[in-house]
Amino acid sequence: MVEITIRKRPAEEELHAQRKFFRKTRRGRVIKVLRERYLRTDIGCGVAHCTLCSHLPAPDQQPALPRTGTPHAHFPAGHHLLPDTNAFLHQMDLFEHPDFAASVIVLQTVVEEVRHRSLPLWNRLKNLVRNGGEQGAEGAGGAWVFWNEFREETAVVREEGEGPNDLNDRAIRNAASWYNAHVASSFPARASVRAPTVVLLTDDAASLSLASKAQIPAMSVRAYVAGLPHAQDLGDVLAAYASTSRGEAEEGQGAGQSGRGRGGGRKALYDEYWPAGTVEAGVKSGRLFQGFFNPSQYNYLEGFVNSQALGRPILVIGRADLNRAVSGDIVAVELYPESQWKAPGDEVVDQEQTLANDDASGSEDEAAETERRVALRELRDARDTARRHPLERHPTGRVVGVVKRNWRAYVCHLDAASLASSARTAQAQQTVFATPVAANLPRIRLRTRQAPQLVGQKIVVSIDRWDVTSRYPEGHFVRALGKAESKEAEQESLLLEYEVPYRAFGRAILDCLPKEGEDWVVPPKEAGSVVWRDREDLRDTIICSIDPPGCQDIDDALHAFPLPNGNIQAGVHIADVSHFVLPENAMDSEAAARGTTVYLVDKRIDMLPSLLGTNLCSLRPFVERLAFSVIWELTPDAKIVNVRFTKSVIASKAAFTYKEAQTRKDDLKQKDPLTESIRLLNSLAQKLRAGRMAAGALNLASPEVRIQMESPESSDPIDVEQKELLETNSLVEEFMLLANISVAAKIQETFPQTAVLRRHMPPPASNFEMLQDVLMKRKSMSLDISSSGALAASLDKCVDSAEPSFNILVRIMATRCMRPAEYFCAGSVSRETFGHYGLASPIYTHFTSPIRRYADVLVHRQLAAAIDYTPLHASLHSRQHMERILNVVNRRHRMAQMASRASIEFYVALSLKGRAEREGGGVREKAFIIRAFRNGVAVFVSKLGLEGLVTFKREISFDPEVYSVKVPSPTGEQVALSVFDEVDVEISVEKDVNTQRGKVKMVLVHPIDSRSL
Amino acid sequence: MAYQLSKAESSYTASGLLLSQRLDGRSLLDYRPITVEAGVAPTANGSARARIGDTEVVVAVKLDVKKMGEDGEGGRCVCSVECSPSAYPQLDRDSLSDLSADLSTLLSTYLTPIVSTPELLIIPSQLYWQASVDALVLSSSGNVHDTLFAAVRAALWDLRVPRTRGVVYEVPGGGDDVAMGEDGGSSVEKAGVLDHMRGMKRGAVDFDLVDGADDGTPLEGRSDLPVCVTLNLLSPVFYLDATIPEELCAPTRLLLFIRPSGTLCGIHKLGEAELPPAELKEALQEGVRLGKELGGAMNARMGGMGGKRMGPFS
Repeated sequence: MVEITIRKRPAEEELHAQRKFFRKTRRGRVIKVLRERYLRTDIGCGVAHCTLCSHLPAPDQQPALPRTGTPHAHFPAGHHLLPDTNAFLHQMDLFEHPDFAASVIVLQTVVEEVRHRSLPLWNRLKNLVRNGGEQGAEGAGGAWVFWNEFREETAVVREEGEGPNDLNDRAIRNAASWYNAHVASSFPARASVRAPTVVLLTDDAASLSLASKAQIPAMSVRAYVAGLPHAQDLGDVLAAYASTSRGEAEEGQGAGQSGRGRGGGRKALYDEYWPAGTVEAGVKSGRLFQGFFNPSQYNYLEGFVNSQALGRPILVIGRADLNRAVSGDIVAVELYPESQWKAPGDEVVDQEQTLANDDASGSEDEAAETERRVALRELRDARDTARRHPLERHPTGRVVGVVKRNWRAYVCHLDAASLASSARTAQAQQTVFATPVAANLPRIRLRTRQAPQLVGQKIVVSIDRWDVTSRYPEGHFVRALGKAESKEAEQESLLLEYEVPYRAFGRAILDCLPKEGEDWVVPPKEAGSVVWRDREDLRDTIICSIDPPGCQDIDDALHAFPLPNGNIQAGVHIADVSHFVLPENAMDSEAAARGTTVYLVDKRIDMLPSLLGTNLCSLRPFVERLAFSVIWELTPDAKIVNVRFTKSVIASKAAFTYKEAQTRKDDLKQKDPLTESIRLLNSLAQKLRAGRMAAGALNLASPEVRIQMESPESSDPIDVEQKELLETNSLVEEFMLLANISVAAKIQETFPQTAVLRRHMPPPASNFEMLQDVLMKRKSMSLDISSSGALAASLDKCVDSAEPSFNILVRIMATRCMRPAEYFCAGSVSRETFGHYGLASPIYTHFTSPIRRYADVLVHRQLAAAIDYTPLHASLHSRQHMERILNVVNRRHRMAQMASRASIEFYVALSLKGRAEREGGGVREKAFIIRAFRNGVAVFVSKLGLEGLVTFKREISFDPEVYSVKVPSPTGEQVALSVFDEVDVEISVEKDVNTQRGKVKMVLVHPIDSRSL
Repeated sequence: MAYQLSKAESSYTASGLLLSQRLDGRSLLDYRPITVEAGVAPTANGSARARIGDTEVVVAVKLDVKKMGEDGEGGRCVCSVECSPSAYPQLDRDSLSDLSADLSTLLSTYLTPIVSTPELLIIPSQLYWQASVDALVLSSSGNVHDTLFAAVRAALWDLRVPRTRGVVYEVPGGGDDVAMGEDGGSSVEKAGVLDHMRGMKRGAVDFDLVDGADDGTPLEGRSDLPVCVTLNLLSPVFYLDATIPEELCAPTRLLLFIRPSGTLCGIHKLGEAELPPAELKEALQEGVRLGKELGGAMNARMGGMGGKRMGPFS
């Protein structure tokens, strides 16, 4: 029994115990918050075998810091490192570096300050501590959180007039001083081993000098790293950050010197940002607009800011007006008067070509580029104002402030041209350019000693800052991923770029799996069995699954048979994931954070551990599996008579691929019940589909290609093929839709506040303006977008008999005008906006793939509660909680789609390369022009699902009114290229000489050869 | 009041008073022991407990952000006094609430002009701090007014107004095309509670807390906040700090609000009896003197004790 004594605190202690502060709420009220704090003397220091702390109770926690500290050149007796908040905020990469092995003391003050300043960094810090705890047990390094604000000796009380930063700094120094004394006194005075030093790590000059006054060993980051083993490698990951936030600090340590202080004499290239207060006031008063910054795909000097307040995206043109905004930042924009509004440019501007001659080490010889740009700009402005279609003009503005930077680590290639030629082999530190893989990011200037080794590799780079005097942001090298174009490096870079969490599942998560592991089976049916409680026994029902070939995570299976009354019973059986994934345990939180399984061409990043995904939950044939079933009684016309939901146990009789199922159905000789049930399902599906189409569902197309691989091992794609759509594809799809809709209605009825639903908002008419205009002008066709039904009908009419694939092209372009579908919480939006536009269904959700989508897991839980199978977990009753989860899931979903698309693109490029080598020369394909620019056209190769740009170096005449360019042919006559024209392109993959980045290049070969142009 | 005094008791007390003899042995102008303790409610912005004799009142002042009304004005101060039934066991519920209402009205009448200082403006003509003064009479043994106002005064002394900073939209470099309608690119305004005069230029659209951990600033004129001195007039004498029987003997009671600097800033008369001018004059003069003394003593104690706690004084 632990003895608990509560003593009444004497009144004088109140000052130490109470923390009062004011907080302003979002609604503008001011609240006085009062916190009580109980100081104690039994908080351990975390050093292993500490003689003073060993008797303290430390439940489930082993001291993580080695007794004699870790080696450092300046401290022969060893040291523990105690970094301040800024050290973590700016140099997290240092602490995460595999070669960094110091034992780190993390103060509570620091943890809280980091959390306050940046949530992502806080998460990384948490990971660091967790991993550090494990490491420490093995003897090296280690990290320990010390709750300094609760320990009597280290707690500090705010002094009159002391700001929060000063208070925290003082708390950190206090703790450092205490630690030194504590560690020293834990070593016997005359022992042969000397006590390690506790070193305060700070870049703040004021704090450094105060520390030295108080005789606390303290060092700046650079000076500290210089004395570490592996100093060379670690020096590279240091942020190019000049400590200014808490007073100017200048640590006179060599390396940093030349990079710093050069701002003074240089001309400012950008306007300073407005003070944060002014920006905030401007946004609040409605004079500035705030939103995410999205750079244009085609022109790196152009971008849009999506402002909620204005309703339309705001156009920002030109380097000066973009003012250092980076994709994803939340920026504040000041609008220009309406007379100066412009239209997005009609020219393709590629950063690499334009800036090819820049010198990284920053001799400011960048004027040439600027001049050229300015000239171009003026020319275009003149044209803009002269003959712009007023419709196309966008509100135009300039960035005056950044509300929030969303910088992350970017995957880059090192620009070989920026290497000093003399230093190609030397180990000297030099300044180089890194070009991000994502085209709409600026290149990053960084300093590294490893430049020669990094050329031709994919590397991860973080942006640290972007000064007004610097054309490019400055960053630091984080780590190398491997050789460019190697499968591993490409894969990892993809996952990083799309922020897909791909770490292996941790111990805590795997502990949530059933103990039996692979051997888990459905227990025998007997009274009182927990698993069998309220479960229907469908083991004898003839159920089968139909999936793409090679599918391992089978989450749905179907059955159908005629009932004696002439109706048909049909059932959809979904893997009962919620039986294994219980709310709010480690596995559940991880799945919620991952949101979805990500499919790359050659890799699958699971949302759930593969034991569940590919075995226990996968509805494999011939084994008993737990399922959640939706069972309908349908009339032969596919009208629902009734529907019921039940947990069940099934034993699938067969797992077909789409193709197998199709052949089986078509083979009239087969009369077995399994085949009959497929036929029955198919006939119902056709009626369901017809009904859906009649209701106005859209049949949209997005290019889907499949990468054909020779064997999973070789992974060199041999060919690209478009996905084939069989009747059975649509069979499965129809029943899944039906199940989703039935479930959506049920959970919405039971949980009107928190039901997880999915909706697809109707696209705003403005999205279609351009497509409608092009169709009208080029083909005299019109699109009726008044409703999804009307759109579907008018899409059907967009047929050009001469060009059979034209209709698909229009559909693809229409798809791009759509809004993305999203998950939402039923209570968060009004009932009228529940509808799913594309499916023409008033209500919809996702129920059928709980193995790979987290939303489905939530829906399963809600449905189980709705049929009184289990009570609903408390968290699923909270709307705020659900909204938070669904926001993450929506984002992950989007990212996952982009990642798999990018992965396909990479393999398409690989296969093109292979084909080009086999066939000699480039690959010729048919393509459609989808957009015309002043200096080129964008084309779409439907067979490969590939979009590309063809640019002309020579001046061509461009007519934006009719979306067409006229190109002079060698023979002298003008060849017109217009949107929707079919052309032949030759596709090749070429490597950028400097960055080794592979790039798909397209040239026109018919009707005109653009190579000469 | 329903508290009844027998004739004999009344005349005994009254004749004693006329002879300057009080039941508890005090002289006519003596107080019972006064205790004032500030900062008793940590979640309030300002609070205090005052005790005179056995009369005890707790006061808490809360500040809330309020929008100004259409006319740019708004009630700056909301007062409420609650009398606990245990303090007045002889009163029924209705008379208790009448008493509470009377005291609330009295409090708000005299407090509103005092609390309407520009210090409580956050953004001129838009937002201001509304002070809610809540008092609770815990026990009563006469002279509840003096106790109440002593507690209120101490709570206002203890009051800290959070430091705010006006958020001003202003184009840097005096931008010409956007600053239209602005009064001509004025200098950077950092409108806070203290430089509210400059904040009058308008333009601030919102405010921020300067430092959440900071207590805030005390009211500027807190050392000159008035005290209340109740003079019980029993012609020809008057006496201070009456107990309940003594209160019942006085046909007229004068509440004087006196600043420590000596300004008389309010008089309130209770009771229906006539008041001869000569007597009034003498009472006022003496009252002002006493008020200055009391206020000065309170200031000295409050300042000396760091605003925390004061022992009995008189």
